[in-house]
Amino acid sequence: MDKTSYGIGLTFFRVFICFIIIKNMCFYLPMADMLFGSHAIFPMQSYMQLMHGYGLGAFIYPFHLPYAPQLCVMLTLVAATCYMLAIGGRWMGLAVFALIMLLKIRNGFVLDGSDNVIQVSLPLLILADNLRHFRFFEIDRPDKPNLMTVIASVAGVALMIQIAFVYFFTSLAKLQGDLWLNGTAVYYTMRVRDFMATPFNITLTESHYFVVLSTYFTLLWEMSFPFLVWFRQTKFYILFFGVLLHLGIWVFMRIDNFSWVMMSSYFIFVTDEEYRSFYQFIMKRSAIVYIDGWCANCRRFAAFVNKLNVINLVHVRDIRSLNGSEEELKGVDYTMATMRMATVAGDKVVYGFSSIMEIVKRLPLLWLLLPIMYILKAVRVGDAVYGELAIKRQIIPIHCSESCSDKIDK
Amino acid sequence: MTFPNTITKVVAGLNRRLSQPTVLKIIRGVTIAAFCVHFTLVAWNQLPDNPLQHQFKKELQSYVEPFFSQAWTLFSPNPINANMSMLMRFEYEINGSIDTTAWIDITEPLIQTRQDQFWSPAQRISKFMQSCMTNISENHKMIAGHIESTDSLKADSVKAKEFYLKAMMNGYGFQSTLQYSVYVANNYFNSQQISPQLVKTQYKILTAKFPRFSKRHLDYYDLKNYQFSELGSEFVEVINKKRANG
Repeated sequence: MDKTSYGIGLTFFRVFICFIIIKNMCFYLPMADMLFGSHAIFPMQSYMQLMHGYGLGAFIYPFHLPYAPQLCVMLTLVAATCYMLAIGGRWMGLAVFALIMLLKIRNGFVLDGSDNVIQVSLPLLILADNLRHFRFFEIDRPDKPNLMTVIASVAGVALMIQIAFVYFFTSLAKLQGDLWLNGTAVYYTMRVRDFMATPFNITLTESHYFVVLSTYFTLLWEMSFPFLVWFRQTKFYILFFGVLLHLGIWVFMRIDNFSWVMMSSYFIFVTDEEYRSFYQFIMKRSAIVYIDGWCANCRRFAAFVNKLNVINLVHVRDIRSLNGSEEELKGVDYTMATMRMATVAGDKVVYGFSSIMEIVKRLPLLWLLLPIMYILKAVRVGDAVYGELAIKRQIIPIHCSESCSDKIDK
Repeated sequence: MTFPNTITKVVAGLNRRLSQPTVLKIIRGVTIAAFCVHFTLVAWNQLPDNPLQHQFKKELQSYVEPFFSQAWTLFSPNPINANMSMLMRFEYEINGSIDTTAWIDITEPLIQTRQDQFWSPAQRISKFMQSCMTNISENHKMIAGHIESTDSLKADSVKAKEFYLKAMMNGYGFQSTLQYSVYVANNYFNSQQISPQLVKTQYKILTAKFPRFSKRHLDYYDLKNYQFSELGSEFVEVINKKRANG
């Protein structure tokens, strides 16, 4: 395994930006005439002038013809979908790039920062090694390096430089602004009506601590990104704070596409080896849950857990179907486990309500419940309620003949 | 030997030669050099105004436009610090009689839709209006500055006005606003069930400065705490069915 391979991160980035392009095209389609047609809001004549000015006169797309704007949008949508699934490989990527350039020149006024990031990243992404994973059709990969793999490895780094450029130049521009230097810029950005997404913006910006600290944090973070993202010791901190910053921008200022495109670009800074280490780290945190297979409610609960077990961190077993050997029980007290659900998480064995908490910790879809569960645990209500339910549960061994594992899996 | 076989043999041979370690090293070096040149040119074009950038402006522009053009100036150098709205009104003629509509705020409904929905197509039109308003405001400043610094225009107000109007009308923002006004006009007249023969558009960009940071505890929603300014246009013909029919 190549330690400097970035195939997984590049694949994530490809999938995300294709998704954003597809979403944009879905929005454009009903408005295609208004945005790109012969009488669109950006003059057709200006588009022609721009195309000739760029020396692209031979590639003028006839937006003035009936349904031509819709066809162009549809083609972009189809091409982005194919590229997302790696159908057509780099040629399809090139087609997506050509089509989004065409739409950009036709009406650049409707585009925002995210479109600009996509436009400048796509040529580098196409060259980089982004087609290894999430493929509709599998292909044989060459064992030895060849012309394309050499260019791809350099292009991957070039793509990272391009992302670093975004933050470097935006921080350089901000350093010329009085409002960024005196620490009040966030006050204005959060209060401008166009970007005021929540009523909390007013409350938050009334605090001068919030305004000044968030302004300087933004500035310092943007200045640091191009320098600190290259080192393993600092990379994950800088990416983590970047995610926080962009989530904040998304929630409070409703700048959606840009936030998502930038956050998805962070995947490319993580090597394949780091992704694998992370996956192994997560998998080590998996838990074995021992449920009572003679109890209908327990089996229903197990089925519910299996449905939500999206990252496969919970493995449910029926305590009744085990022969009671130490190897199978992993330190679980058999008698106790038949009364209260047991969970083995790493070295520790927990029972009852604590067991449910360990399960919820491993089910991201239920993470919102965790604060409530911690409170219930602290005030001992959780254990008491669990105890009541455990005592009153119905145990009917006749319903499961030999093993209940098949029912648990369902 | 058939032609396809020859092609396959040539490609395989070429691939074998290109896969040799020495050749790959050269390719790697050339690729790195190409990217270095690319990023140098892009960075040069991105840097704040400097004499070298001015000297090679044309060359830099011709390289970066349109494929590598980038502008990372969201909220910079200073963020927008006022609410900008565009209002339009129409002077229209039906059967020889001329009337004028009230001012229609075309920004507010877009912002409202955007705030109500997390992902909305209105965002694109809203972005479009923002770009138009910014472009018009920038053009206005630039043209007004040019008039101020040109003695012949400064001395002759009629000539200056003529120059101003002509220069403004050439801007993308102005032209796009007029195009958009046709949509607004059609929607408005359809809703009123009126079919005018002639429609002229007038727009104004209303800038409302909310309380500054030092007065942040003042009520944000009370318009008394705002400072207003506006930048408007003359009436410009956008629909003429008489000419189209005649």
